[in-house]
Amino acid sequence: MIYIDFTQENRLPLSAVFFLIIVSTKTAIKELWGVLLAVFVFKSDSLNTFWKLVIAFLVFFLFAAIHGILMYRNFRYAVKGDELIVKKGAFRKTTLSIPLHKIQNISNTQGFWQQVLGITTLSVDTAGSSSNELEIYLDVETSDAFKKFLLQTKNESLASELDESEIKRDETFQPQQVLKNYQYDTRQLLLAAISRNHLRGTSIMLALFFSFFNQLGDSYQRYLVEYTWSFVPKNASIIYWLTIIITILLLSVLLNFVHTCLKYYDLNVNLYDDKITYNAGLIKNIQQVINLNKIQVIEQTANIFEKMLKTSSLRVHQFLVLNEQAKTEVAFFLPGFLQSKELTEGIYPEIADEEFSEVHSKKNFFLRKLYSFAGVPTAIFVGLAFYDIRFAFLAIPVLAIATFAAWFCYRKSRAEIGNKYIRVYAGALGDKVSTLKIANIQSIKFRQSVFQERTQTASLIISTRWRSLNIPFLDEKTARQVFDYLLFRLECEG
Amino acid sequence: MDFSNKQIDIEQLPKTEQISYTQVEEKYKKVLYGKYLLLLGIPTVIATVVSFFAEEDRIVLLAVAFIFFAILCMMLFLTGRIYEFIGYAVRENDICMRSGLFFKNYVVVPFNRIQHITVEQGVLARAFGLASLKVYSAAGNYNDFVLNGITKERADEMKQFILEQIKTDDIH
Repeated sequence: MIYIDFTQENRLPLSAVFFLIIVSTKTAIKELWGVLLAVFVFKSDSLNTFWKLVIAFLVFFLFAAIHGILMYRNFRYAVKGDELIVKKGAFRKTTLSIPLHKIQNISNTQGFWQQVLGITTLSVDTAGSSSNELEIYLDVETSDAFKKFLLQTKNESLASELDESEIKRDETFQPQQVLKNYQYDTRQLLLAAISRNHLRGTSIMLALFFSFFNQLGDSYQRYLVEYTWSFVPKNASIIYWLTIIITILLLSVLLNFVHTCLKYYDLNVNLYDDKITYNAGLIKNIQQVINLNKIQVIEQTANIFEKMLKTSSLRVHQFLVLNEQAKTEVAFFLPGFLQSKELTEGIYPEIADEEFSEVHSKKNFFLRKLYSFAGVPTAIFVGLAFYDIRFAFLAIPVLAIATFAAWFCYRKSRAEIGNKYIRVYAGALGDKVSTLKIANIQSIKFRQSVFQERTQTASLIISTRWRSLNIPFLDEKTARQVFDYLLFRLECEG
Repeated sequence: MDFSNKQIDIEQLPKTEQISYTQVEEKYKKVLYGKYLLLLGIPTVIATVVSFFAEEDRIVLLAVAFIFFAILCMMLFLTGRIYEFIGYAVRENDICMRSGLFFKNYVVVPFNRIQHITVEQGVLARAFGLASLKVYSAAGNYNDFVLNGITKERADEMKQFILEQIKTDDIH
């Protein structure tokens, strides 16, 4: 274990220079794309495309190198008193000072280049509203030491504010025990990869394919037409097109598969008394620490594939303030996770012996969903039927699908309300269960449209720091009771 | 499917249904009229005037003007109902308001969830000496509690009252 005095001003390790140059390349592209444009638009007979490329490359490299080296030279960090002071910037220097007690999360990230160079990014999230996200590039050992030092100093400065009895308790404080540990074994990883939503992958694939084709078509139109038509037979049968579609589908499945495997390789989720640590990734390694009281909503979702394989995904939403606006984000997402329910109960331990009472949506919700799903397409098809009667038949499958979807929506829309927790169920073909603590609710809205008034139903909109959750089309009396009850809970316990 | 819970008698809870809402100032009706006239009247006039000079698409422009005019008439006709429904109430532990025309919203923000409060005055509202009170909770995405059409003095009073309430509570 190396010893570094962090109370003095320190510089980054030398290996960080290379990484800073790589980071600066991104800045260079952002700042200097105009130059690139100028080089290519500028018409000169003496320069051909090759030399233009060389010049552009040189300009970029020079800028990135100067920027990176300046960033390295100007970067200094130190802990003075109870403040973390960071000086940074290439051309415009800034000094940041962050009070240690404001630090919320410290997380390590290691991208591909960083693994090669043996450094990690230490990012410090604060609860302050004006400071930027702070990133320090350190080598692995220093990073761990610095992280430990920061947390230690933070605890010390907090402890000095408390009275002596608290400190005594701190002295007998044991290192935290891992309550539970979750990992993906090979079978679980494969399960997760198979059950991803492949439609999205397919659409990305198609978009890439077509944009590539279009670009080619723009520049080499004449050649392309000959080239394409030589591959497509004159009378292409349906089997030919089916083969192409299946190939694209298979490719997208493969793409998704590889992506998931890389992202969740070596996943490690540890549950402590008051926090969760998350660690995963092969090429880009992500470590995160999330305080349990920062967690706003836990969503357990299952798409069709996952329902067939009897697994579900877990999404944990936390609340973070970055910049001026409240920024909310997914703390972590575990696809095809077998122990979703168990982990939810681990995060919210009281939920196991909570008495829930159910409220259901009324049947009008089905009609409302049916109108919103089928209304516009059916109207279009009926309109078209005046020109050609065959369009009327197209409306039938649309109506059938919409009816099914609306029926499933109505069947799944319900909520469970307990003493400390709420569960909201939703979803059409998949499942979605959101769990939240009543203490995390910020404000409640009771909403009733003109039509709902007539049928005596109402919706409840529950705002958390993360987002609003909707319990639609409750019986008006029930909705009022739930509304009063939640307010009572909020105001009683605070 | 009545909602029930063992530990607390639901019937005993303070009911939001029984809150008697205070109406906002009568002058706010005029502000609403002015707002709709500005928002919808100006496009109507512009579309009509342009249609006289336009050589083509005269009918389309006239149709647009007519649609704007129809919406304007409808809104002016409904202003009374919009105004009547806006109301606010302050309870021991929270602040409530209702608003809306086609969608009736009842919003309640408990005092221990309030983050900050602002009092704002628009151009139209200032002409009538009115102000709007905005109450921000930490709820992420949008701001629900905007109470328009109370006098500046009343807004300041309420702001002061709520701030005192917040001080005594723990903020979450």
